Amino acid sequence: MANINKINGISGFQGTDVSCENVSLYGLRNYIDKVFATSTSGSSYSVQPASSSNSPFATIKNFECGNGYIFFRSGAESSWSVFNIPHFEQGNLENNSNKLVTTLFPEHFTIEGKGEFHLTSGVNDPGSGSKAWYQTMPVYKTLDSSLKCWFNGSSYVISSRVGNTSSSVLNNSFIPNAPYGDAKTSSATVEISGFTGGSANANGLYAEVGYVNGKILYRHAKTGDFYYFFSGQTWVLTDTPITVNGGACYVNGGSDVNGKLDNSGGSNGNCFDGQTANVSDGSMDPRSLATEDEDSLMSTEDKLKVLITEDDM
Amino acid sequence: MALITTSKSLGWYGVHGSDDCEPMSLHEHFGTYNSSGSFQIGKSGLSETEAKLISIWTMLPTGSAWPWNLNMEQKYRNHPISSLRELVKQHDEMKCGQMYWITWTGNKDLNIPGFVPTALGVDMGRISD
Repeated sequence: MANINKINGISGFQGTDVSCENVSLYGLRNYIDKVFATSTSGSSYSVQPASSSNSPFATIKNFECGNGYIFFRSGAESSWSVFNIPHFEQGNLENNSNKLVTTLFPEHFTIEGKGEFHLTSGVNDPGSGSKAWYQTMPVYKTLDSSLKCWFNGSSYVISSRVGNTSSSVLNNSFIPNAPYGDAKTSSATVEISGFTGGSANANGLYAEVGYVNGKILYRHAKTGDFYYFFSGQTWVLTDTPITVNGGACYVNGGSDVNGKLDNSGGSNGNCFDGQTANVSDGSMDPRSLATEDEDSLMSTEDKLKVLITEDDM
Repeated sequence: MALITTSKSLGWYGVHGSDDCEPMSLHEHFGTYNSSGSFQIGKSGLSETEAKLISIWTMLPTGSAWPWNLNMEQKYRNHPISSLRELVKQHDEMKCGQMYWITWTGNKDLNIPGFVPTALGVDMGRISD
């Protein structure tokens, strides 16, 4: 929440790691004159008077989670009073340097054999002349602009031009930095497995999209619907970025990133009643390290045993 | 890094990551003028003509919108009156934890590490300590 003081212009971002819900702009019409936000066209700002934001033709109806806004107070200065915008973080406060974005999409990543991709403010494709966001999802490109990474509605795609699938590769994922077939990602990954029944859709590969509480935030690669993060005490799997508050469906893990998610007692979370799952390093299949004769692993994350010595040569 | 490719961009400066957030000096990055009035190229390598196509706006804590651009640098960076020099100094860096809106009409991409652009309908993240 943000208590908005008696100043004319305010900038800010909707959503914190504690909570986020969309907040009606019309409900704040007595305090706010006009709101500005970036259009996905990338070439203009959408401007919306709060007093008409209940119109079917309004371009901005709510302060929406994960969006930035500028707005100005309504009425004469003498009439201004302090008011609250739930889940809003003001972006023009003194001494605010500890307030940073936990991104839900990566800022940059490298795909093996393709190159390093960077988040953009929209497409800048010399072929089409277009400069815009695409499918209301972030668009990425290499520094030399030779390759773009964009969402086609069901998968991220790497190709030379946004919207053109010629010579493209897909990762069948909601996030851009999941592996593209055999082409590996530079991003950290984990694999979650073992959920059953209605919880099975939380199984699968998770890839790094940001940081929270000093550790990597992982997001379910295929759907983007689940987040695995460190709460400060334990690792947590949740369906609500990036919190267990507000009716989130979640299950607690341990103090290490790899380990067990355990709600077998049905009491440490919501929705995952009676469920357990395992979290493992997503870069390798642990079974590949097992010997033929026993289940013990030849290597661990902390220690690599030398299997062939000089004497054996 | 984020690449600013569009002519309008509104976003938050400062990302949680493996490195600490550091403020970015705009005149050091995009250029300024010396006391003789000569353009001093910035770390970005943009020419004077290119750098003149950038305006980076902020909302000051007082509630007033304020720009940084080369015109401000040219007029006020080395002004003999100290109070006028403050006009450019009150907003000449991107600070962690602040919102900025950028107007850029050049053809190249602006590289601004740590800037998270936003757009209507795109859920880019959450603010956290």
